[in-house]
Amino acid sequence: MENKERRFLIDRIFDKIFQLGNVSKEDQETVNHTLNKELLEKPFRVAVIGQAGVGKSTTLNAVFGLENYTSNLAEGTKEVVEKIYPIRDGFNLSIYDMPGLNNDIAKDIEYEKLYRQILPWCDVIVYVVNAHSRDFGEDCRILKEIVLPICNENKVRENLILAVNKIDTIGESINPYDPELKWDAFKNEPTEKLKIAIKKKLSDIIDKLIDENLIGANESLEKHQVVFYSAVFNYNLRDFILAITKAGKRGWIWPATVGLERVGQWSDAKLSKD
Amino acid sequence: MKPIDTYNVCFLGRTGNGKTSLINALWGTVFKTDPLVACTKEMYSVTVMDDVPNGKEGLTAYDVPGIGEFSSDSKYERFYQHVASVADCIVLVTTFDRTDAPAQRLLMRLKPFIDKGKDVKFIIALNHIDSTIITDIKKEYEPWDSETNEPTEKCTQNIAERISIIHERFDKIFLPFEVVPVCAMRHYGIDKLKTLITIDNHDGK
Repeated sequence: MENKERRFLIDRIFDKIFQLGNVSKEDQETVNHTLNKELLEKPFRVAVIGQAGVGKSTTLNAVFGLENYTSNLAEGTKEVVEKIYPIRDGFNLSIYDMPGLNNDIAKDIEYEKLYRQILPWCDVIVYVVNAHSRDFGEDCRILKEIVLPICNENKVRENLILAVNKIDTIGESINPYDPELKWDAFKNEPTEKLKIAIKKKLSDIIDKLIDENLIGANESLEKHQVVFYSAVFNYNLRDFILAITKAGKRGWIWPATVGLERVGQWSDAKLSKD
Repeated sequence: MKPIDTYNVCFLGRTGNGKTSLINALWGTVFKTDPLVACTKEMYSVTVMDDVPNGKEGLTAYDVPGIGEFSSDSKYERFYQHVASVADCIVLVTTFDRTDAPAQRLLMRLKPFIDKGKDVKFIIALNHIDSTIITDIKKEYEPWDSETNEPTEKCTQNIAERISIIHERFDKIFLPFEVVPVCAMRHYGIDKLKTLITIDNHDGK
């Protein structure tokens, strides 16, 4: 603990640059001031979208470090509350827990308006899907007809992350009785057989996204915007953090403040389990 | 030769809601089912000669792939249009899962294809009523009484609640309907559903 006050990683990096670059005190102040203003005054805004049961809460817990986050949006509630969480050093994270579409056509119309109001102002828009959902087509439709158009109209397509969760349960969806297709909880990694099954499934999902013109088409997603992970097993969250880094104009803020450290913690956690 | 004059029953619903299992339970067929993967990828039909409505020689049940596997420009759309246009009776299979919008949209799309010359019957089958997805506290929820092969009191409440939501969401969308709670796996409600399918619209009630 050499630093008396804990500071943003990004501040420390800038200090190093200032030292090397012989920057005047005044310029340093200006940069630090602007940076802190950006980090402290504007919370990092995240919108989470997904149908019931896809693991929105566990994703928020695992990726954004919100412990015991539970969705409190009762079905039928129209308002979406911006929930602000102080993360550290005065840095805030704000979460918009969006109601999932597809329950009722009348509600979908209301919710779409809500999406239109909120999504354009978010730094990261996370659309969570279940890796072995039987009706992935419906998610594709929602992305294609509602979420992507809103993102494109407001020029925030780069903020969108298609988060494919629950890759640990792909094996169970093939054969629930095959122990070799179960997640190796001890090593916290897929077994060899499961690895092959996961790879196959992931390439099927990518193919499907290409077929549905969600990847590789005009005004569609880039491959790096699609991440595969398991929130309950903290597996492959690095890709998720990388995707956040690349998201829009402010994605870098997240890993530069808390993200990278968390990724470090995860890898430790994984090793100590062995 | 005169073709068999059949009463056509078609089953629609989200993938995984158990259309095929219901058909198997109703007419003793053995169409392939899978609890986890969408496995009906073609249109199947079975024609029986027993328990057919008055004035008909046979009953044909149509099983089509579930909705949701592909986005709205589904490659299965022609199957749906076909069965809707030949149907005397349409059975929408649903569950406690409240994701109803895809089925609402499907019915709205199919409405123009319904044969106006027939008094088409519409039934909503609430399947998988023994499911525990209805609650987060799985351990405390006991949905089924195995001795009587009936839903427990708590499950009966959940069924009533779900039925009222179904009415809210489907009443003005398609045709008037009745909801029948069933459990294909436990062979519960199957006879009632069969009666409702085959009973003559004008004789009954």
